[in-house]
Amino acid sequence: MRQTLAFLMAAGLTAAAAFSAAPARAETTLEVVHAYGAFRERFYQPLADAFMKDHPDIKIKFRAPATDYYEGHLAVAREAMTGQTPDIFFAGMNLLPDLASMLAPRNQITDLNPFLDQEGQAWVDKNYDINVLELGRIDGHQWGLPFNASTPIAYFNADLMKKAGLDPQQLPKTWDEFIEAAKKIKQANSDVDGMQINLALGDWFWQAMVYSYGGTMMSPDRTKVTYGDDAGLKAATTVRRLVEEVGMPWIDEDAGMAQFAAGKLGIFIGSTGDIRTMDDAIGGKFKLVTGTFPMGAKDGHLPTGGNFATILTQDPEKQKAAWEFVKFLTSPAGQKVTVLGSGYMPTNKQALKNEYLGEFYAKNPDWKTSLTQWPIAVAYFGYPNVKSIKVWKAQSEVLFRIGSGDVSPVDGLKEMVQSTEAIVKE
Amino acid sequence: MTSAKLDVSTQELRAPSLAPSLAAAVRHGLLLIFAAIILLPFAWMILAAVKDPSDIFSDPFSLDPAKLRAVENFSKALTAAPMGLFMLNSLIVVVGVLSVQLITSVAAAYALAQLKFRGQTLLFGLVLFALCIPVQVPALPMYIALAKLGLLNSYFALMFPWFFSAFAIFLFRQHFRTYPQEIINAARIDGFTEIEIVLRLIVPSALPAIAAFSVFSVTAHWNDLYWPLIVVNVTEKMTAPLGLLNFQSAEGVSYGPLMAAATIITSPLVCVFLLARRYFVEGVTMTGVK
Amino acid sequence: MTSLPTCGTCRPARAVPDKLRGVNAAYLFALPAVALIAIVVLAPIAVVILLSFSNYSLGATDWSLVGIGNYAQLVHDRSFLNALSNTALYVSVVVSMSVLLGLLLAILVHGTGRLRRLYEVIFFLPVASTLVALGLVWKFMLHSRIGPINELIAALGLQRIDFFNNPSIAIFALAAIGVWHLVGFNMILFLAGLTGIPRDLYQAAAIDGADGFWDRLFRVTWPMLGPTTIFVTITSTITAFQVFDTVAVITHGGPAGSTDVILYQLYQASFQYFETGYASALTVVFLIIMMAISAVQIFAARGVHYS
Repeated sequence: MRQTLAFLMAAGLTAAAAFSAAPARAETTLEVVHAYGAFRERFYQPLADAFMKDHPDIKIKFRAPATDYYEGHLAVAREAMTGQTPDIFFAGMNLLPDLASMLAPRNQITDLNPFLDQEGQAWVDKNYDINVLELGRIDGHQWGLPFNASTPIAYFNADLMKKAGLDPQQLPKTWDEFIEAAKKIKQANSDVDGMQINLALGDWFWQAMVYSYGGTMMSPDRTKVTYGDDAGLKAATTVRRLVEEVGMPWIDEDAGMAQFAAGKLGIFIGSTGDIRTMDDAIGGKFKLVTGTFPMGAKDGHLPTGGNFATILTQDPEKQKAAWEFVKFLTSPAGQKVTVLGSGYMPTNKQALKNEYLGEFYAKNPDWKTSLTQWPIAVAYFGYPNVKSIKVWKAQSEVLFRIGSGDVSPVDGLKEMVQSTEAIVKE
Repeated sequence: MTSAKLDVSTQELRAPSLAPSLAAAVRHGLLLIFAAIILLPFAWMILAAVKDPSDIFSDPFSLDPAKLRAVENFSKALTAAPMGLFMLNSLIVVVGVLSVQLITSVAAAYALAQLKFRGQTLLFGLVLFALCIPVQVPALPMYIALAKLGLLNSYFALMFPWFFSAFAIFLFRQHFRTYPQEIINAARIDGFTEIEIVLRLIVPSALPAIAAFSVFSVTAHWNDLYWPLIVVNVTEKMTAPLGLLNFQSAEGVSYGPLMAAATIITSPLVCVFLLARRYFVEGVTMTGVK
Repeated sequence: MTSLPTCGTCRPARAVPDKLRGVNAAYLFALPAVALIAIVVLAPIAVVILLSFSNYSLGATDWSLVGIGNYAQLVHDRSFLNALSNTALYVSVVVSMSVLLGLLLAILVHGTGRLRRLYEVIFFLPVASTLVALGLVWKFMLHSRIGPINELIAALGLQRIDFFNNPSIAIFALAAIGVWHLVGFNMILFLAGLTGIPRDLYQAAAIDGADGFWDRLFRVTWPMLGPTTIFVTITSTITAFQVFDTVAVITHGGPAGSTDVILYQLYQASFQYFETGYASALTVVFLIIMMAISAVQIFAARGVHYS
């Protein structure tokens, strides 16, 4: 206990020192809110410290971090009523449309287009991929700039693949190839599962399946449910095949990751952000290779997780300072810190240069897989009026029944679409 | 139910006299099997917290002293997650809740047990009514009120619903009632104020009950997840169980640090339990008094 | 159960010289508790009942009363009925198992002499530990493929069990954790009950020829533990009805809604979907269930007397 107290006091002193170290001539203070407290130390605080060193007239002050993107969104929604929103807010990828439709009519969110224009088209082209900018653009307004981004990728146990006569250099690319490979792995190795994708908790991977077949969840204006089409049916059929043909266990991402790390799973579909933890948990017991997410159609896409930096302050002076900070966060130097601290993909083109992340990626090719998926990345979809959690609860129950064969993919998909329509219309 | 009674090791249920040693062996054999089941998760948790993460699942119940990772895991749990801060928050909440509970409950219980006032019957009836109300019932309106007042994410929000404890008032009233009226009257004649009577006569006489209730309250609020999950959505104010839940979702699965964190938040209460076993047992038995 | 408050229970402060002083002090002493009971119990219950007849949702500026609309919705809501039956199943398993095992453990532990203390500590350990932490542990102990329990099952040559990913098993897996968590608590209560059985009853029974282990158990111990058993059953029921932590940590209501329980649904409706009116109706139903259990307790307690 004494040690804990000593630790706490030390931590408190450090924190106090960090706060008081701000230069006396600070003129502009920016209040910042991000989600996931664990990320503070990994990159938010180091980035803020580096920024304040270069900009002694701007002070970055973090408010208490939100538990997750959803809670952060709800907190901002509450604060918007009393005009106490933070100056900079990191919004979850699937929540930006809701944030914008809530704050834009009240003039509580800033369009970043004028700031980009001011920097000049050449500068914008040099730094940001058009795809990256597009993620944060709604109806012509650039409400957010992607700061953290991740796509789902595939993790392969090369040892299990070899035992099944598969070449870890020739990774499967499509759903059909994945299912074939998984079946072979399961047959060749006793006591392992072939493949797992998390359909038990959170709808990111289900969306990824629909998108990989070229589908979308709803129409761009979010009024019509669209995943009941051919692409959705293919995705639902694949869910059934995964359970029927591969014997996929219906477990969440954590449980799947543990199983993969224990060497009892051939192929695991997870976030690119899992790489850091995965390396540690495997501890050299087998060889890990990563590959791209299985595709079902040529025009397939992938939903991007992560967050946008948004500027909520309406004070012109603060807006200018906030833009400087956002620019720094999404600069190659800022992205280098972020990527190494998280495993996310860089959102700045220049970060791939050798002096930033180029060399690192050359040495750690597994970290690079997600990057190759940038061209097909789209925003992680959020259902209107923050209904995503409820929509998913209904979807996941039906998906389970599709998987287990209790309902056919055709009927199950109809049921899912109906429930989604009903919830969205509430 | 006094502890003296509990500690008497009675022999009525000694197994058949024909083969006492065999019966004893069966008895202890069964008990050891149950004990092993009960202790299994604790063993796994502690082992996972100190061993190499790559061995956690491949070799769950072994320990290779050459590959101990205890320092790394525990320091990561304390830095990456601020488990230290979460524990401090829990400590503040637990102590704050208990202090207010004791003050309000002792006062009310004394009034109910030894004083006379209008509305006494009604108040006691309300206390009995409140005994049957689980906290999840008033949670929603209280959340709305706290949100409207801008009090979410505060220690006050974490503690407020617990300031009133029907169980404490009921328990203390039962104990205070047994205190002889004559002594109280004598004290009054000697010039004791009512507050002095409570502090110098009543409370000391009911210390075992107060200690047992305290242990009860501390356990309940240290372990509570439901209410903190509702009123706290920032890391700074998280209590230990909520912090652990959040650590799990933010960190992905680093079992070593995760299990180290689980061990850290479980250990204070287990230590308190081992030191104050008597009061835990009495606290449980006192729930049976009603 | 003590007698309900009547004038007999409140002893008058007869010899107080200054009666007014005593009266004032009583109000002063009772005031904080009275204020708190009004704010944290009575007012919220009134509000929740009112809200259950409205279409209010948090943050909304206008709302109106909708009569019994929310309750009508509840009755037809498949997921509510599902949660209700899941909870009932969970409660019945946890209560029966934790009461029976608690009694068994108490009988085994009672009379172990010096080791009794040690056994008490071990069996009570889960009660004192944080369920969120141990829930995480159980989640991976019971992992369908790599969990140590399944490794053991496989080593014995048996079929692995999909504890948390089979909808017909998951609720029982959660119930097993619930029993693990509760059994020590019940054991302590039974031990107290056992200690309270007068020794001469056994002697009397022995004179009647009932001196075997089983004779004693069924003719003396079991009947004498009747009141304790009723009490343990009711407290276990109340605890089991409030299952939440393990669902929130391990299954999130899945797979296929098989572990969606009342409190988890209440939590989601209230604080994730912000359907305040509907959630309030759910709360009122939950309140009625809990009051009914308490009524059973009061009714049952009337028939027996505690030491």
